[in-house]
Amino acid sequence: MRRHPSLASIRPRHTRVTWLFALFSFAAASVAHAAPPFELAGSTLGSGGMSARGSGSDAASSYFNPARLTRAANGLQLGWFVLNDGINITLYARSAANDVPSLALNEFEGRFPPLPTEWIERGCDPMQGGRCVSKLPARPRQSAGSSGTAHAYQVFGLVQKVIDRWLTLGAYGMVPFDSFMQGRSFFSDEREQYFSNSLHPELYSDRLTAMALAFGAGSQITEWLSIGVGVTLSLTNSADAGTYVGNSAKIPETLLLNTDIKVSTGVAPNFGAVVTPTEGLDISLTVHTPQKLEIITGFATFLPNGDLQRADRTATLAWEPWMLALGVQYDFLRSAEHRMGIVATATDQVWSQYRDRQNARPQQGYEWANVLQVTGGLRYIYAEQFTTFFDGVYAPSPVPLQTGRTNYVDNDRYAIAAGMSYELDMPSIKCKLRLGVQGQMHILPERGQKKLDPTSAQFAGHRYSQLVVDEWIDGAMNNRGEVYQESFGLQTNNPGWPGFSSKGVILGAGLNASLLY
Amino acid sequence: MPDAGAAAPSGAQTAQAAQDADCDMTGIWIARQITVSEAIGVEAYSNNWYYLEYKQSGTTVEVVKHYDCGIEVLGAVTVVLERPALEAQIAHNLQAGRKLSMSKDGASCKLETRRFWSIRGADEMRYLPDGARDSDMSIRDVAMSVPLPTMAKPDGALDPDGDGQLGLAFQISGLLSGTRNSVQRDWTRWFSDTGYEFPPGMDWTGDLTLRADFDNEESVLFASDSLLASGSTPKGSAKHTVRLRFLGRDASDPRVAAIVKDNQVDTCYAIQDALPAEELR
Repeated sequence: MRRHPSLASIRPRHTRVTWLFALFSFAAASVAHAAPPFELAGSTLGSGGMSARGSGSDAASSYFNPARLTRAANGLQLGWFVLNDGINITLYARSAANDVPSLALNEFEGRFPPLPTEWIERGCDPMQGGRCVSKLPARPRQSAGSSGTAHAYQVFGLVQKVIDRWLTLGAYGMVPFDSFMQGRSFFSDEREQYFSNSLHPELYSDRLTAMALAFGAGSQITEWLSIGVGVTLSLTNSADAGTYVGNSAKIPETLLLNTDIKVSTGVAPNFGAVVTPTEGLDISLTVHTPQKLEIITGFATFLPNGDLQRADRTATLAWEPWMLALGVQYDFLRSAEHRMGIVATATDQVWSQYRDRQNARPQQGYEWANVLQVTGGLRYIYAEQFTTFFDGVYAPSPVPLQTGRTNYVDNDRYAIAAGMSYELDMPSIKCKLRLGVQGQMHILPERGQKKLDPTSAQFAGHRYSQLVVDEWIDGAMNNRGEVYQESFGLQTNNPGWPGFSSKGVILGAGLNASLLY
Repeated sequence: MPDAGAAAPSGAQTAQAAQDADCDMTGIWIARQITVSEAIGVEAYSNNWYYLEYKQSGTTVEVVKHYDCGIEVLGAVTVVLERPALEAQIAHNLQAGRKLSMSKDGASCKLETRRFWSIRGADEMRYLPDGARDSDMSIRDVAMSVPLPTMAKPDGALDPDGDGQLGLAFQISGLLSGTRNSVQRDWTRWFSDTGYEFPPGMDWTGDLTLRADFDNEESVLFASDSLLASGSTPKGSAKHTVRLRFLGRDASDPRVAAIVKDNQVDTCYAIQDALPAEELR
């Protein structure tokens, strides 16, 4: 399972690979960022599995626990991994009494007038008598969900001892094959009616498309203590779009666009330590700082009448919280041929600071919880050649029941993962070839939630911003001063009204090959 | 404001007969005029409603009673008048006494009018060209000789709807939202044209569609948003139109009773409902 090279056996080795490593690290620095694929899939190389913070020593340790890099063999690792997120969201049937009627068109006050529900559900055609200006396609609820997608990744890793004992460098990355990066800054409330009119899994879907890349460095301070530091890169993209609109009715023909895009990087560090108080026992401690991809979009609209207006909006994608983990591995069987051990890891995830894709914090009363994710597993090695692992995970959802305005879709998650690898000696090139395979399954048990009606008696006389927004205020009047009786009660296009349920299965599988020297 | 026409529409008399009995405008009519303008590059369709009573003698048609019944602009934005603004508008720019011409021209009836100038949100007589409702002066010339009140020089502007801002208040929603108070000066002219002929009729059971010309200017005195301060200009290539609907020769006609209410504002709303706002396609 773990090799404990004696400190004396560690020899300095400055090779071409070291320089290749350094060059690669520099080149990749401009594109790397957040780590949701890492956190979901665990280590997709070697034997770390879902317990990689407390077990396994390979390139993946660069992210999970860089202190473990000191025990990893030098080498290049390549892998291919596929994740299929099959999360099913079911919206509960709604009553037509809650629809926003066409009658209400242009009779709204406020900054974000809703659309008539009929337009959203069935579209609108001005040539057929619709009151819309342009022909609008139908966007029924949940017709544009974002799950049910298979994501394929190229996985790569590199470990190189630079100064024996004192400095081992590592890199670990997962690059999606289908697209380099996807980000959907959807709204998790009634404002999504203007866009997909659907709910989306808050912690999956587009978060799984982020390229994830981490660098780490480990150092063996004493025989019983190693420490490490790693980084994932946080990106801030600034896109400034200046527009001049010659004719607001003919935007495709008369829009002039001038863009100014900047990308700046910051690092999100992580720290690790491994303490070996006695033979066969490892205690791991890790700290991961928050990570995110931030996109600041600026709009400037200039019109022929000299009106120049500007606005900025910030989207936060792939946000990851502070994570503090404690892992313990104990090898209870340590014979010449067989090694077997157990590993347990507890990770405190500080989701209470969560920022959603619109860079907003969950509302008061609906704050996310800090949760403790626990992992337990078995490790077995035969003759230092055949390695297997099996892990089980319980990851409680940090998201409270969504009985109010927001529709953060998330579930508790139970996962199992297993893998094996076999190491072949290749004396002719003084290397070893390790081939591995692994698979994992995440179960998201069904979670249903019904929303509170803000117009019900219990809330009479009060307005709570946390509750579903009544988008047509009761007692609304037309320009003739007549009260719309239809305005009484709740009218909303919140796609999550009156409630929804979610459940799913996420499957993952991968192959990997390592050339160790 | 009680609608005198409701209790006893003036009952236009037919004692002096029209030249052609089947081209006789005498009676009670409602109308909707649609003109096309452009503002910030966007077409806007201005629907204006009218209550009209005509009396025809020979080929001369006299307006016996009239009042404007409001405006609604459709397009990328919707512009409406709230009730106080409509009430204020009803009392102004009255056409009673105006003369039109209606004659038979082959198989069609032919209606001709001179211009009619309207002033909104300001002292009417002060801003009419030479004090006349039917002047042939251009908007440009009138604007140079008697400029409308402006934000900098609001003298002459009124607050007809009592909202505390000078100018008539228009409520805008859609692409832009807010309130815009302005002073407006325009002229309109209705006329028969090729493609817009209407056949003679004794009871005008079908709506009559006429062409309209117009030009206007506007001075915005208050806008709740800077973009709402943009002015509009008539779209020269557009064919502005008027739809006239005959209700009956006098108030006894049930078609009149269906429209004319106890007060002029409600009558106007009934007219707006009968001839709803449209965009010219």
